[in-house]
Amino acid sequence: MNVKYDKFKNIKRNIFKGKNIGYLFVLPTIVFLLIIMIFPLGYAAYISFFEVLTHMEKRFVGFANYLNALTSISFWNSLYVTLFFTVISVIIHMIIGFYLASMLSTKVKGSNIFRFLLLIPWMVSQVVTGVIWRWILNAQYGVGNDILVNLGVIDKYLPWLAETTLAKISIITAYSWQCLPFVMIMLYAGMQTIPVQQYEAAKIDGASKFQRMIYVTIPNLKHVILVTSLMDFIWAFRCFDLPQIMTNGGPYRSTELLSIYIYKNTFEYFKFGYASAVSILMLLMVLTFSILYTNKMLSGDLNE
Amino acid sequence: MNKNNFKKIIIFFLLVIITLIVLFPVFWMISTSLKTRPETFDTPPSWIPKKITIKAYFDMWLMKDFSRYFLNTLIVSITATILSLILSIPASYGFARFRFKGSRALISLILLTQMLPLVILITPYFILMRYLGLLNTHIALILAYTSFSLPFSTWMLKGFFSSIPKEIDEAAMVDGCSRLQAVIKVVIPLAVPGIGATALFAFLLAWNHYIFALSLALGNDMYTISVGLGSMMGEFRIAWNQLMAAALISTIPSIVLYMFLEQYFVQGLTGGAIKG
Repeated sequence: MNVKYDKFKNIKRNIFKGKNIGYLFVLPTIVFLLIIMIFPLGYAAYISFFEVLTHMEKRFVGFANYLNALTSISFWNSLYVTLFFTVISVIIHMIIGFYLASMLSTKVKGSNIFRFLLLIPWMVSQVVTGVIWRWILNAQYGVGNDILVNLGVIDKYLPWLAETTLAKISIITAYSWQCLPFVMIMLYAGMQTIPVQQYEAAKIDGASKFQRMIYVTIPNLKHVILVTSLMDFIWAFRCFDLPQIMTNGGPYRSTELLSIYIYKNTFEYFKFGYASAVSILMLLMVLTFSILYTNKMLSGDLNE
Repeated sequence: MNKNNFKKIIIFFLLVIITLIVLFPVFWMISTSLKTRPETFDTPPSWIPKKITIKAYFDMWLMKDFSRYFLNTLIVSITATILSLILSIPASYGFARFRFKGSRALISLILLTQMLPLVILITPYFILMRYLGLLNTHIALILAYTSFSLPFSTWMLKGFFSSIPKEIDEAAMVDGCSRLQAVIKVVIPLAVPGIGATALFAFLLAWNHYIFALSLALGNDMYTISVGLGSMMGEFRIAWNQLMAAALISTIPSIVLYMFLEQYFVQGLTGGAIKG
């Protein structure tokens, strides 16, 4: 008679005993994330098949939003701008970050103070960074023009944020100012783990400075370089705050990143269905890199 | 020896120059905030204000609604941080201690959500919050902020709990504590520094956050500092001295925290990537 009940009790005991008790600890967080992240994402996927007409009304349109996106010039423009911004930013960050990290690693007097000071921009929010740089690059009153004219780099004041190529350069510069310290500190930390003996051995074998960099530093930093550039790539790809403050996508959509494109379609044109379709496309693009990154991060972690 | 010293001197001076260039925008923010409004429009601009005044700070605080924005940011950031901690402390302990079926998949998912572009959530959030009548409320912002602050706290705390030896829980349980008692009485007190650091960083993330506030706080009364700064950029003749004063004040929490917790900060930043 009580067999069934006992069995249930057994199951109950098994679930909440031993390692399965872990479920109880993580359950609230998982449920919460399901509600505030997974469900809205699912809703975005759902709404991407509709044209949202009014508050309550919507019309099923199938894949029309996706087709519209994939055949519209503005979407491809945004994708191009995003990739341009991302790839150039990452390349700049990695190269300059590598040199700064090497300089810090030489342990000159006060290198800890330099490290501390050089990391400060990373503590400034993207919004504030955007505000400061928009002021520095102001065409009429900006100090940027003044400095560059005095240095003889340019011969007249330039409209940094109002010309298409200059605007791209401007947002990449401002973004790099804020983000480069992160890349620098990651590479610096990686360099501290390289055994000095390897450099000494290479030196005895007659390796030049450049050869030591290629054959000792870079192979040792492979993992760090990969993880850092992946993170940097994903962050730049989804960047919104700074370009929104500095140019809001302009002039002539020359800095309209995908993130800004989605924002404008939602809040300026109220094309909710279309914006959701673009969001899903963006999600698919980022997911590829994110999964790669997650695997890299966890590969060392869970095998302990 | 001489050659080596010479190289070090060169690098030292290069680092001095680079540091000065890197810190110039921060200097410029401070310098502008101490100017009178007409002086901000001088050409060529003066590096050191001719007449140093803190009037911009008063104007920013009294005339514009910045005190209101600060209050909103404070309410939302603190509540979102507390909510995240309440949920993430047990979760990160669970992930650090148990290898249950699917635990790897779940922790991957949490790490993955940290990498997602938040912008893809604004359209569904806007529609759903409007449906629930939550648009332009603190609750909407707190819920939205938790979507990034909860995965962040869980991941960061997991590291701290993993560094506390398992044997400590076991010893407490041998002494007659239940699992829950062991966690509350023994493990959490040991993790207090880690929990504190996590709370501070989660708070900063929320404090500096922009896009959800921009999308869900529609009225001036709900603006956060970031949204307030952004909206000032849209004005016809921008009061740059006030704008810089507001920007500087909003940056102070981050800088102060950085000064005291630099070591933690660098470790937290580099830990995961360097270990592997």
